[in-house]
Amino acid sequence: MIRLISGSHRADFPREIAAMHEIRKRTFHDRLGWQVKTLRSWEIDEFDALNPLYLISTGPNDVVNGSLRLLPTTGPNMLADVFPELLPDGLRIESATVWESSRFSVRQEIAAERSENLLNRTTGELLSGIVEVGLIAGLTEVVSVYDAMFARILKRANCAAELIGKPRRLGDVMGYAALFEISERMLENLRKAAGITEPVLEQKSIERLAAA
Amino acid sequence: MVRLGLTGLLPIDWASFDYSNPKIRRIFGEAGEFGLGRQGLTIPIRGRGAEVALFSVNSDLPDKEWADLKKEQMRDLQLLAHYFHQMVIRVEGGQIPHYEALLSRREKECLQWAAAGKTIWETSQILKLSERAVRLYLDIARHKLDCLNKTQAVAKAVALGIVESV
Repeated sequence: MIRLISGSHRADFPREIAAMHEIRKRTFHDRLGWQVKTLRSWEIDEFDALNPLYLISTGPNDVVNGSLRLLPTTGPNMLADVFPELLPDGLRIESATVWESSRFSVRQEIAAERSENLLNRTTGELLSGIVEVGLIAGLTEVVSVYDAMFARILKRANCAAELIGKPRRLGDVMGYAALFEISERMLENLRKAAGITEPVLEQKSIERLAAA
Repeated sequence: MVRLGLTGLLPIDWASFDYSNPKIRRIFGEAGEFGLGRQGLTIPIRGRGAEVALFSVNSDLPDKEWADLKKEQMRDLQLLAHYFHQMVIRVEGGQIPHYEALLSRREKECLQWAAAGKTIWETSQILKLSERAVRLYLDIARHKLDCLNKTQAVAKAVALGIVESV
């Protein structure tokens, strides 16, 4: 299940927020060795201060399994402000109907779990969650920067990614910038790939954020 | 609602408010006397300078029609909301952006072919891009040029000399 937490409400959800930053640190700093800022056991950066919309995947007993954050491309975002070199010829994605997804991370112990040909459940929930949110918010696309490993996960998820520009080396990592369509069809593909049969967004979250 | 809107990202439907709360009932009751409709939607806006704003729309449609309208029109409402915001910024700030500098090569190319009367599909073939990419670049160009639709954006680009009239 996906809980939606607005960055401005982080004080109301200390447990989920803390778990999110810890999983992010273990994933991006400890495991992948990326150049990210850490504060004790948290990975946290200046984009968290912009009140993103966090999607937090929770399992039984409300354990936090993974998360990602969304920011509108009309304001500051990672692609425009941290990785502009990924886009060709000074292109800047700036649109009222395109948001950016970043810091997609899943708890290591969970990440390995995968039945048969299905996508990992948490990954599937997070990806489906993005599309469900996108449909509520009237988005046309979501843009994201990711690495080769995530590119493989997207393939397994049957999540069509349209590359913008050419993949480029960012330090030790190959960086991809891509667009993802927000549509019922995309949602269907993701659900099928992950074995998800119903909406993943927590109804209480939707009501709390008055997005009904 | 203002706090939720100024710090949130998702559109806020006024129907989600707790109308059993007497304070809320009173506010909307009074507002109703001034002609405010029963249905409303507030769209948060984040701008280039990390500024935040709100745009609200209002209607008297019955619940089912309102729900349908919301679903179909949310994209257009987002475009409208952001366009309105940019107009307000312009008026308040008094500064006209250097439009040409805001546009990238791709956006100018797509605008140029649109000015020449090419469809999105034709432009995609000429530039060897997907239709989605062309549509997106035109939308970005429209957004950066502070226009509400593509026709307006093309006309403005021609008027500003960013693309050549054909």
